[in-house]
Amino acid sequence: MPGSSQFEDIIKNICLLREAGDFCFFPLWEDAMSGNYVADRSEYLSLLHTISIGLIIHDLQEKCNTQELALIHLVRILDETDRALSRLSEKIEDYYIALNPTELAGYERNVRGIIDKMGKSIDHPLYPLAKNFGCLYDSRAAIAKSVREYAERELPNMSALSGPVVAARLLALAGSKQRLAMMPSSSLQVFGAGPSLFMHLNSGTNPPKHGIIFQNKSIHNAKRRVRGRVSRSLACQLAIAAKIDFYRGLKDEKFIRRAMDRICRVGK
Amino acid sequence: MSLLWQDGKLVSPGKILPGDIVHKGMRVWDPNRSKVAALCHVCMEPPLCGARVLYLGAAAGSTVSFISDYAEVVYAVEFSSRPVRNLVRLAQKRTNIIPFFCDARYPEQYMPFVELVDIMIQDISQRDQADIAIKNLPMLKKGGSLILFLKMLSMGVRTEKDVVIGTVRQMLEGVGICVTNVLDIERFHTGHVVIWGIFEAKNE
Repeated sequence: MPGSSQFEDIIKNICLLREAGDFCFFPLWEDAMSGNYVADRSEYLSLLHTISIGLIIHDLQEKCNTQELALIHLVRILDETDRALSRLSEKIEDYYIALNPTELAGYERNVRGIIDKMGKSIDHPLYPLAKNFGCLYDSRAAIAKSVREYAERELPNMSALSGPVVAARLLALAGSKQRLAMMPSSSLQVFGAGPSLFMHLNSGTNPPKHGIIFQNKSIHNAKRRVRGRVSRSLACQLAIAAKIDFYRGLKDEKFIRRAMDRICRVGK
Repeated sequence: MSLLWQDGKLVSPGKILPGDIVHKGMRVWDPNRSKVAALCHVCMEPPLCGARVLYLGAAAGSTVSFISDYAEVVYAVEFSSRPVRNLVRLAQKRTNIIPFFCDARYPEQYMPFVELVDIMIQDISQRDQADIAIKNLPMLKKGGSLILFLKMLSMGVRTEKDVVIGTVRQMLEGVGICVTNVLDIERFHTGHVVIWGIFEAKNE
């Protein structure tokens, strides 16, 4: 940015005032001109322009919480990779079935095996794609591993309760740790079940019992009859855990033991 | 001076940016993409030429770039960190755009930098749209116009359209705004209504 150095002090000053909750003062252009700070209106505007852009860049840098943002975007990339993998493998399977109508029946099919076989014969038309598919599969595993690491570091209590990937997905949906901590547990419970929730609100169908947290094994292994109950109590404990993660940021073993105990008791 | 029209298209004379539709050397202001252009197509043009404009909810700044072709200075407020980057890049090219990275609910953060403006355009799709406009009123000069883009969906899914408009109108009239027009821009933007008011002194 041109000439930013001479305004850095002004910008820093404004930020300090803003943090202290004071009203930062900036003169109107008539005052600035009569006080001989600027020669005319265009100079005043260009000064204001430079300061406002500098202020935005300063704010953007300050707001950036690298760890948390990395986790959010990694989860989104993970989901997108999954989608790409499943779509590609479906199309490749279609291709194979069309050429070999007698093979690949029912549950015996092994799409991964076919793709690996394609990746070995060089003159196959799908040879490069099959190779890349393998690479994509490996990179998915790498992303999933780092998501787990980040989530266990950033959201230790939530990861312990619901598993790191589910905790990270909840964070990605909420947008930030702060918003997650402010959320009521009922929101956490149906997070990711938006369409059916609004269908319930609009036309009175049954409300959704669970959203993203269904991926946790304590819910999808539970009996159908108690699933709603388990997901409610899990969401309650998750809401508490989110608050601990945001405000304290440390793992609380005692809380986790008590919460797990409570969830298990509901499931019986 | 009024806005420029060519062959039924609204155009603006500024420097052409990448991605613009160009018609006879001028940038076309597409009513399907910009609500202010839709307003011009439906009924009447706001007096943008040479004006000082406060634009709340600027997003990436496509509408702001067109307004800046006509207006003297545009103060653009946006609170989302992703589009703000585009807004800054735009403001670096066009020196009469002054961007702010602030929440329009707390105008005290950017109020010191903004002078009294002639036109205030509010394009924030939130539940408390009218409240935000009222909070920002101190920056609007007397006799200036307030243009409020009301998104019906963000005012609640189930409430009736007329009820929403009625309550917003009542709120605005309570703070001294004379609502002159309520326009439907359904043709270009689904579920949007424009409320146009003139700010008059509050009679106490």
